[in-house]
Amino acid sequence: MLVKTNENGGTAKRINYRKIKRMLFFAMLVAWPIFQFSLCYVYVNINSFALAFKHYEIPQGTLGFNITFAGMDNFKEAIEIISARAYMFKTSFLNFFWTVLIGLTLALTFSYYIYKKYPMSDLFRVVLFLPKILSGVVFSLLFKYLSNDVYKYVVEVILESGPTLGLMDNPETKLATVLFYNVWVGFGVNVLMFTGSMSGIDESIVESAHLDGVNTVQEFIYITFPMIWPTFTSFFTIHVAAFFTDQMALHTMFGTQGHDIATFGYYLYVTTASAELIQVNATTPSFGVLSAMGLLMTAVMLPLVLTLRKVLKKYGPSVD
Amino acid sequence: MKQQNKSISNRVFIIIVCTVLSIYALSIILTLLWGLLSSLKNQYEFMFYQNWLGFPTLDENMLPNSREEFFKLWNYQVIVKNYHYVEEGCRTNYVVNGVWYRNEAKGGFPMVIVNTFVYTVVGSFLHAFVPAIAAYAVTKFENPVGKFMTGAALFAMTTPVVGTQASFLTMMRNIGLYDTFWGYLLQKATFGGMYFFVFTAYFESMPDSFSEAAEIDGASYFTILISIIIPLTMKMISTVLLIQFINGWNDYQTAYMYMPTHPTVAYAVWYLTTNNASSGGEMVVRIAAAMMLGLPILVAFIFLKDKMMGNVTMGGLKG
Repeated sequence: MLVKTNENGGTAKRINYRKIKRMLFFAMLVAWPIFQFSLCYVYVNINSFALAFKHYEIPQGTLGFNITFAGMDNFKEAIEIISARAYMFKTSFLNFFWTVLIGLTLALTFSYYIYKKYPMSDLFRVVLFLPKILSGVVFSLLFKYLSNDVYKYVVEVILESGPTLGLMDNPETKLATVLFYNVWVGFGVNVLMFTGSMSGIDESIVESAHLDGVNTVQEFIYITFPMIWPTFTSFFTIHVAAFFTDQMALHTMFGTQGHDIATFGYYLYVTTASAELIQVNATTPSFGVLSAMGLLMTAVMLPLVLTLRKVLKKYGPSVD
Repeated sequence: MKQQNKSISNRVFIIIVCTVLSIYALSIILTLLWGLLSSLKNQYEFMFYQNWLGFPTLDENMLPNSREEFFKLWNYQVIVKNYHYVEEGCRTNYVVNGVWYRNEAKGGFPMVIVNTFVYTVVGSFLHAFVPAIAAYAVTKFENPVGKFMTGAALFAMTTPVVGTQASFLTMMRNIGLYDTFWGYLLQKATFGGMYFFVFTAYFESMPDSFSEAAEIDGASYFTILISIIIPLTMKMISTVLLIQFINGWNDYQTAYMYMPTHPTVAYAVWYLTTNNASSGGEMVVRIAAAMMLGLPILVAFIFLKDKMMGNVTMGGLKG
């Protein structure tokens, strides 16, 4: 910067100085995001992988950990736990089935109704979003009392049908009631996203279809659904990816007492909250086993989701 | 369009869906109304008078103190009085590098207000500004690092990784941020997620003419960011901030897992509603606790629904 040999040389140096300033400012802006991502995502994932192969124990008379290579022991224990709780496959699958096939289908139908601005669509849009805005603690508690205590009162006192159990107290109806609850409060974001996506459809396509005499159902099948296919596949994939993490609102409803109808997501969350690096009791595995369990689930889910995304993208409907 | 509306299949569709949606809307509204009325009832109304569905009894001859308790919002006062149950239950023991840590919740109910403030206000501020600043950097200062960041954010958002909570807990304990505000803020100050892409799309559509003119006038990059970019983006940032504020207010699971001795309103209410001893077994008190958590957001939603729902829709279009 001190020597100016000619005009061109001087200009070149000024550009470099500006570039350095730009780079420094860019570095200042992205330093924290990169650090946070490296620590909370990259390191955590690497550490999770490492934990799955480690065994921790506290030697007698000390508080420090003795760490050894666990080989596949943590994975074996994780598989044993999953085998002993095979019912979690059933509850997780039922939850997936209800939230995707019933929940998403209804959400699509409701979204189409709102998009077409049929009667009271503005009101319905707001009400459908309400359970998403209020804490799950509010709706789950009210629903629990309504489906249990108020239901019991209505059946026994108003309908005079004799003694009965509440829907949540009855083991035969508990799971179905919780599944219904999840669909009941789960429309909000789906409907909002689908209506948002539908509102982006070119009006001229719809108008020309009307001139060709298509009815409401045909319009949905041949125009609306293919046009929002990318949004739909995103949501479908998110639901598939959540197979092992969805808690089915069990923790919000029952705290740590929901193991009888646990999903994988609920089990992992509740157990991690009470676990340690070492095994603290007979029913709570160590962090290493939980990490191994997570790795096994990721090994199943990752290729499945990536394949599903490609297949849905390739074989989706077109507006032709 | 009119011709289509008149067709029989269309009418059938409208009638069926409208009926289903009306029943749904009623179920949501009546549930909340039932909760509100129940939260104002005397504790004996459910147990002894089987008044599950009616209005609160205000006849003092039938239920002593019922009128007074109704107007003094007695059940809501009981929540504050019962808070010590939450505090007694909020404990954590763990070992890091041979040192034994034993934390307990302190400060009584006022501390819950402080905790909630940090969770919601500071947390939502970070959760809105960090993605906005990162999106500005990768969009307006195009370079390989920015492209890598965008790719990394997309990868993290779309790749399902299960069971990393144990690793996260271990990391937080090892760096001394477990069960601290700083640990919580570290989690919230992330640039990834849906709003990073919403901000990226916004900055891509923003013309460079303002900042170029300011640069010619000698303004520094920092001045351009503070005086031009942030004011132009403030409307969108404030909407994201509002959404994150509500998420923070409703979220009890982060506190439960990572800050067990710093309960927020949501955590305290969840604890009161899922533990028998903490509410004295009184359903009306638990319902009042739930309403205390839900009512402020419900009121805010009534006034700000267009802003909140509009933003989520926008996110959907970008997704």
